[in-house]
Amino acid sequence: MNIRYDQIIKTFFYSAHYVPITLLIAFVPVVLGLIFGSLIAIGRIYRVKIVSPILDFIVLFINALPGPIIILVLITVFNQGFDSFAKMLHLAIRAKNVNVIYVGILAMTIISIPALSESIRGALLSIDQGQYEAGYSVGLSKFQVLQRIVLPQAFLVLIPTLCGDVIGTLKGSSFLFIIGVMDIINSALKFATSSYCILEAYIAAALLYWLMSIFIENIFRLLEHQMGKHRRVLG
Amino acid sequence: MIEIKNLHKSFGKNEIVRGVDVQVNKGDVVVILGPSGSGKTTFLRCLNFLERAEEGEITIDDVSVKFKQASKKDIFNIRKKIGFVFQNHNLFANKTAIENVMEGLITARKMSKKQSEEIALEALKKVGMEEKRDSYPCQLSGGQQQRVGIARAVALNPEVILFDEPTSALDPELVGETLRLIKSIAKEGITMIVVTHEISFAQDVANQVIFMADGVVVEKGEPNTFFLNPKEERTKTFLQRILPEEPMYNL
Repeated sequence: MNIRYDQIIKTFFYSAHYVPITLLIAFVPVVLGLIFGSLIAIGRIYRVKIVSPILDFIVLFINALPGPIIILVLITVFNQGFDSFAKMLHLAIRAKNVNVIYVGILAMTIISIPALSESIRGALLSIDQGQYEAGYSVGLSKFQVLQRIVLPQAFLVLIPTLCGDVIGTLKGSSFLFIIGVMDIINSALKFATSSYCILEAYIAAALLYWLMSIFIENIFRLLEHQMGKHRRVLG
Repeated sequence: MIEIKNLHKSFGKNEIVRGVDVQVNKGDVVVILGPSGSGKTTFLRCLNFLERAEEGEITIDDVSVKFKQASKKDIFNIRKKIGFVFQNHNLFANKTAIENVMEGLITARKMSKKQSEEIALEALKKVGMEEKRDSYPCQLSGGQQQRVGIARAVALNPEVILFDEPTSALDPELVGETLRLIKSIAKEGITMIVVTHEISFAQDVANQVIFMADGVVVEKGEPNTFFLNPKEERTKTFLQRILPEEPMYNL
């Protein structure tokens, strides 16, 4: 088998243009997932009546579904239902004018919420009850204790798992090629069709994912170093 | 003057505190002794609403609050009057020594940063920790952490400070210095309720000793009468078991 290294390089540079969009469809869902995931985690930790069991169920329900099913269900619902929905709201916009990337971001957000909320819950549970009690004893409210004492500490615990979650969402977002989102994989395949260098295209895409992961890991390492001033260094 | 009437607290079916009454005069140091599981720590935690008692009432100065019916505002007002020092310090791990002391002043008491820094520094000086003001709790020893914990309670200038076994988590050699610090603060006239196993501290510093067992107050009195002339059989056996021949720490 002959591998054409020049094709790898060409595809690499062609697909590199799609790195920003690929990062976007991973980054936006993680940020949204962090917001919703935090609310879910806090609701579950405080065992808020009625809400908490519903959240338990939702997390379990989404967690059990494979990513591609969520993506495909969403795109199907979108294609079949969006136009009548828009008409109902008297909007001029139609499904064919909407970039599928928004459907992709919505899908990735839904997929990332259970994992993120569980990571956040774990981080919150790692904070000693005494930290809450000390906060109450100096007169802080529940909200102030969370905001000023618990969440900053929990975030530091969260960083390593969050790094994994971000990279996981990044890799998971590659499934969006099945609904036609123009990301690294789709662009590499598009570039390869003219030369039939499919394997080279996959290698180029793999290299790009590899570099992005290293980049993300380094950012998180920096973040951990910056925020971890109060943590004892092991060893 | 602080008065606690008929405090009851259960965990599930287990009634841990079964109707405790305590009166503390301004400036008094009350020491609560008792075997493990006698409910003394639970009693203390109920006063600050860290546990919610099912029955009873607390009065500090002219403010009376029933434990069961207390609203958020009542709890906030009572906590404002009570300082708490924890067995395992519980310093805010993400804040430096001085930030630990300032937190309540800034966030709960709405003081300016400058004013709270002055008060915090004063409190840290009092406990001999002003040089460690910018250290994080993980960089401090247990004894140093407890000093900051005491400064955090003192800085809020509460009506009463509750000490929950303040030396139980410390190395034996740090116990003495921490007790000496608490004694020096007591000498300033701050009202205290101290749960401890350190008999010599009770003998030396307390105005009133309370002996608890099985969730009730068995006996209370001035230290001299209490230690030399206990009335109850239960107190006598307890004291015989723990009273050392010589005081363990020279306060």
